Amino acid sequence: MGSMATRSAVIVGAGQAGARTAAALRKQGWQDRILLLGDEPDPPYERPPLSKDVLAGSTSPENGRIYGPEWYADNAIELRTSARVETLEIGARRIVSGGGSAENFDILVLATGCRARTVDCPGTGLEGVLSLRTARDARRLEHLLGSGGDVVLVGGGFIGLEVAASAVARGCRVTVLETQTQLLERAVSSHVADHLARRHRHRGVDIRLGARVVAFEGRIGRLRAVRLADGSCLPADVAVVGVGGIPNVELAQAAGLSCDTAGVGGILTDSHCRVADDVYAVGDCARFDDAWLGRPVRLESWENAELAPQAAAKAILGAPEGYGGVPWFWTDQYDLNLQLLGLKQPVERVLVRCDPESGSFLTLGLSEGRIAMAALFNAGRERRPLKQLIELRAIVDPRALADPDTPLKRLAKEAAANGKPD
Amino acid sequence: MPWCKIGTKSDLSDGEVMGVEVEGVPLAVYNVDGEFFATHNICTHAFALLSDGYVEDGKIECPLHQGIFDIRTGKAESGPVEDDVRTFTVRIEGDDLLVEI
Repeated sequence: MGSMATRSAVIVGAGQAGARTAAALRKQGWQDRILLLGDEPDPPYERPPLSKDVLAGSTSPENGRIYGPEWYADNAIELRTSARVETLEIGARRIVSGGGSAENFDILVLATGCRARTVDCPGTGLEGVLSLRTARDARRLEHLLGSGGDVVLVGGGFIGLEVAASAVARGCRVTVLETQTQLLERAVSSHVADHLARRHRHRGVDIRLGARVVAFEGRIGRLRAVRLADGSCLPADVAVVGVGGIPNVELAQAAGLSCDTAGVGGILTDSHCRVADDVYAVGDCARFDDAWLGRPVRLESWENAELAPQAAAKAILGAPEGYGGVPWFWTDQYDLNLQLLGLKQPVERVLVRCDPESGSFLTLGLSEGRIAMAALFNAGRERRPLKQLIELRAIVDPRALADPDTPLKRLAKEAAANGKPD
Repeated sequence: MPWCKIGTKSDLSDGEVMGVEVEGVPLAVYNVDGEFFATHNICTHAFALLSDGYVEDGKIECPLHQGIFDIRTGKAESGPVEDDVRTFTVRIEGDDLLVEI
């Protein structure tokens, strides 16, 4: 091929990670074609508001759009919505969409995201039983919550708790069912979970731990009740199933790309988001070799959807840098903004900095003298220095950490000046 | 455009930010190396108060999504922020800090 030939970067999946990949490629100097394909009818939008402001009725999913229509034109990004990709032909360097139309690619980026996991029991097809993943789901749920009534959240994870808070704000009676013995079992310590449980109970939410759903029961196709394994039955007008996500790896798998089939799933990449020659994966669907953690991880987070595309674009444009860092998550429930740094892991001790009664405080999990994970309750200001301390794997005096009069900023500066201890 | 008092120099030590509301406008007021600046207090990306954010090297980092703005110019520098944040001129009279709204 001549040097004048236009190359094509094709991005499969038009969620946050897909859109940000298009933007990163353009910004970092990709001059050729960029085709962004999404199977949802909506142009790329951010999902975090769906369970919060959208359900509260204070905003619409449209406000969460990542870019306005003119941005795609200005940056020569070809966006196709409601476009489902059926097959990836890696050897032939092309993809085939529904309807049989094909597109050639020189670079392929998979940003296929996750879909909501469902529960395996009778009645999931009843009207009033739904998951929350897409803007369409959010619009439907917002409409259902508008009439008040009994709302049951199946799953005490981020989605369940955020929807619970939003439903309470809409005047609903709310129950949260969690099969584990604590809320957010995979993400936070029991200390943090207990604090959240108290907040919800204070707002009148009925939180039931160790509770398993065995059936959704209805009449004339509409949900009326949720039956639990202990035989009890809860009245329900709406049930939201929030029991985690399943990465969409089927396309990649069928194309012979390497995927994790044993653990949390995901398309396997190196620390440059590379799956194979000219093929990359970013966002929720990718299990990447995290350069900071030093092991593969799959993260369903806003931050990962934001940053992995930057790393992929760098690698595509020939300037690869190892991708990874201290994982960061946040959730908003009622008047609480909770931010989490680091993945859940066993710790030797837990420190609390500042008085929890004040509403703004931190809990820090320590291992071998280092901060392993941190939970920031209405304390986003402290994220940066804490993240630095964790990133440096700095050994910190626990008394200084627990002392609100010792600025974390100072500790972080000292640690950075001392270099990385080992 | 009236000048309104938003506080005194002693309210804000170096490297700090505080939130105030003037004529219904939420402002974040900063002390950067002894100089005072003000921006609109709401991040241009999503509803979050910049006064809850983190100040370093003349930049403010939003507490919610790590969007970073230049405090002097309001320019959106990195993170998810595309739009600059509005800035307001700060004037010092004696110990008082004033902004023009």
